[in-house]
Amino acid sequence: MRHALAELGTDPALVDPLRVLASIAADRSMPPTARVAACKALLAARDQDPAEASAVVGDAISVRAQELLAARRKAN
Amino acid sequence: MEEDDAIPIVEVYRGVGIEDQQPPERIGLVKREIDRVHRMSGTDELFAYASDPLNPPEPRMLAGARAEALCELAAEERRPRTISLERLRAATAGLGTQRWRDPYSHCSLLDQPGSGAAGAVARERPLDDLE
Repeated sequence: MRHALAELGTDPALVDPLRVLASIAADRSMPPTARVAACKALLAARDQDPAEASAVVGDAISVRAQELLAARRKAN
Repeated sequence: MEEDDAIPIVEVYRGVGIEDQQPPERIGLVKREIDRVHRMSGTDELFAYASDPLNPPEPRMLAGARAEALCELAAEERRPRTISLERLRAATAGLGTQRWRDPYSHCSLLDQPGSGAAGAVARERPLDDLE
């Protein structure tokens, strides 16, 4: 994804996923299924524990590291 | 072998489970170390942190996972790895498991030969479930 964004000339650090989701949810020209999916994702983000959500670093390395940690825990 | 060998966690801090049987002061230190590891971005630095039994197990596992994620990214971008994944996994083996949890020190029994790894931080009191 980082590659894809770089190829489009977009700095990945400048992309705010919540803003993108909000724009999809508000865009009446988008398919209804996409708008509903965006709303669901926004609701899930809103319902997340704020202390945890704000503290978790959202970059790709951190996300992948969390997945690896979860897999390790599951394997035990 | 027990069905679930994972060490019970008392809370999750920045996506990392904090292990049970630790006093509040120790948990505070573990959290500060997790913050520190989140600020690290060098594979070598993360590898060194993960390999050192003086560091708490929770941030060591995080450092290992971050180093592994960086290795994956390097492979994706066809860049050479600067560390050995095998050595990294060996360095953090046993962490997070009850079976290999050192009852006297904050580390894994696999960190050093035998129990009570030299160089690791001693527990404030031995684990409750010692047989």
